Amino acid sequence: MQFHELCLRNTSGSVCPKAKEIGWNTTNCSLNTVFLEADDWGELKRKIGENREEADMLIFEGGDEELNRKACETSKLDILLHPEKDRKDSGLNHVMAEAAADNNVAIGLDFTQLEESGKGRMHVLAHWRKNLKLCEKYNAPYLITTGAKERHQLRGPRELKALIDSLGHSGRKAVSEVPGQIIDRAERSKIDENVRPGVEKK
Amino acid sequence: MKHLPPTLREDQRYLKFKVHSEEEIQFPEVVESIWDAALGFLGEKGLSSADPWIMKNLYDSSKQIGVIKVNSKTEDDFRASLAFIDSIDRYKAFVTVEQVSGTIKSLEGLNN
Repeated sequence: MQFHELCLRNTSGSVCPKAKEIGWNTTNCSLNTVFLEADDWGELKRKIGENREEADMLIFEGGDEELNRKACETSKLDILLHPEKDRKDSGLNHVMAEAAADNNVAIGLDFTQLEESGKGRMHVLAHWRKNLKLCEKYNAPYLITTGAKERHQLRGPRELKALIDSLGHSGRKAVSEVPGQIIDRAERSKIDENVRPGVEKK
Repeated sequence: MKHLPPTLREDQRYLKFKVHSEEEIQFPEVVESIWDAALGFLGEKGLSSADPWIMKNLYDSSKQIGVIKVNSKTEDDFRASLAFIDSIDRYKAFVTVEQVSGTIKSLEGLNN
């Protein structure tokens, strides 16, 4: 099985070699990854427009209910990371999950959300459970990532897989299949024969 | 006490783990952080079914490699709990599983 880590927040220094060493086959160090943050839809739309052409992968850091929904309804985004961040609910509902499946926006589970132990961690895991259930029902893609900024925040791929498995869902999809599809898509959109980036000739 | 016959014994998995950190870390600290993480994630009930045992004689403090025995049915859960280790004895560290086996003998790179 090939393991892919797509949301490393620091793609320079010693993080990438270390990630390779502990078992990740591909990391986003070789890809041009852009993390987007926005307060309203206008700002997000502008940022998507500015970055879509050069970036291989666009990741939106969610958390706001309205923006989570907009992100799911935009086919130009690749990943909606941590929709449950700073929220009291899981940040995702059946409408968004269905839209995410239609537009191929992967729901990203960010391991750095679990840093706070105890009650906070329990709530995030409970939100993950709900989100994974929705994703499975509507066939929306989901993936898990360490989101590491520094070396000690990295984790092994099989440990993350085991975490999703122990929540009762497919860890294989989350560390291997869905990230693999995103990489394929990013590579296909770079081919020169395309009409324009991301649009293939018939 | 008489041994249980092999058919009645629970299946075990031996996990060869490696500690990644800047400093060399000794066995007692590793044990403490693994127990803390596993208790936190699985709880007392979950951990009782995992029935882990961290083997003292197989810990190599220069290579930072050791072996944990767990019940084979709860291997995934226990493994997930290892991901929650973020520091050991005030040093930033994490733990990865290098190899899984049903017998200690077939684990590679140990001193015995």
